[in-house]
Amino acid sequence: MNTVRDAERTGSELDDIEALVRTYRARLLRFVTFSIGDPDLAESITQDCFLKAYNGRASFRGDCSVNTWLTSIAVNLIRDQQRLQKFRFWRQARATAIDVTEAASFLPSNECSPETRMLVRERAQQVQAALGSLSDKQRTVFLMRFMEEMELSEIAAATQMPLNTVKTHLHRALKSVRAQAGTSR
Amino acid sequence: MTDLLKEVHLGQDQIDEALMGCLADAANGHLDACAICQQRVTAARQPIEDFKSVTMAWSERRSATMPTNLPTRLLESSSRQRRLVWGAAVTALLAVMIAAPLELHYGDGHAGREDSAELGASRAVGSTGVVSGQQSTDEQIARDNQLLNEIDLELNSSSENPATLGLQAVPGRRAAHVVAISAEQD
Repeated sequence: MNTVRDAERTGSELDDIEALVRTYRARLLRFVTFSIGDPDLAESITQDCFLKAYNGRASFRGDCSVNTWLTSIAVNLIRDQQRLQKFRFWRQARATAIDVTEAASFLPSNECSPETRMLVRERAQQVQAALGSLSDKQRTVFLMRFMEEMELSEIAAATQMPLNTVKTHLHRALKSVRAQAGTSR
Repeated sequence: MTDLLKEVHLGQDQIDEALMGCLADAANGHLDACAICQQRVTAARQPIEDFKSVTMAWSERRSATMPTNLPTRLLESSSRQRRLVWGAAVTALLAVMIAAPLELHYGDGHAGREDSAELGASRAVGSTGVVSGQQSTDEQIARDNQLLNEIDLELNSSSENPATLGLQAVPGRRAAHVVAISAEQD
């Protein structure tokens, strides 16, 4: 995480595409994957995103972090795909959906006990299930805020939605996730 | 005032706002001072943090399995696309540059044959250069053969023929210019 923070707000890093990919690919892949629910297609969109970012690096003004800029490009690519209906989204893409139970096994084993790991896995599964029940816009703003740690104003700019609309979507998304994850009491 | 705020804990909506990062100042002041509300916000955040760490672990693993030469491939595909576009543009330009004179030439030759017999005869040599599917008829081939024969006769009867210069063929020698050189040496 520190690597990303240190690299933020430096447009010159866009010139080194290898470093760019090395630094941001995992985060971007996660965002795209959990936005569309299809890991294979997410890989393709992530590659397109880096290509678009590299070719359009001259347009990066430095008024936001590189991660925010990349996420904005990814949002546009995802939106284009949604318009073209080239793939099916969460509810239809169960067959290729990400198995968070499997993903939990990737957590470093020295960081927590087996009981804690099981608890973490359960909670992650609940959040994933809740994400599947959200609308596209709710899911997008939720992931931007809580996975990418973007400010509300940055989300508004990236999604081209008014700030209050972003707040409304985020509030509903959070309420739904908390209700399904069992922390709303 | 502070005691009053401490007694009235944050509601569910305010906890959501705290997670979203848009909690009002007064409620934020309470949160800073209230351990119970801090615990509730932390508990509300925990599933999201778990999801975040699990999905990041998954994504890092998945990203590691993606092609390592991604940047090179991206740039190659990009430059390949640019080359294809430029190639197509140059090909189209060349096609226009070639087709335009041919069209003019063909149209000119076609009109010439219709004008008169004299003009047609004089342009017969030029028209043989343009061979299209429609023109490659037996008649055209016969005309070409006749023209070649006339050229052959003309060359044979010219003053540059070695025979007219008094040169004779030397047995075992094939090239006429070699014969000529030996004649001069003699």
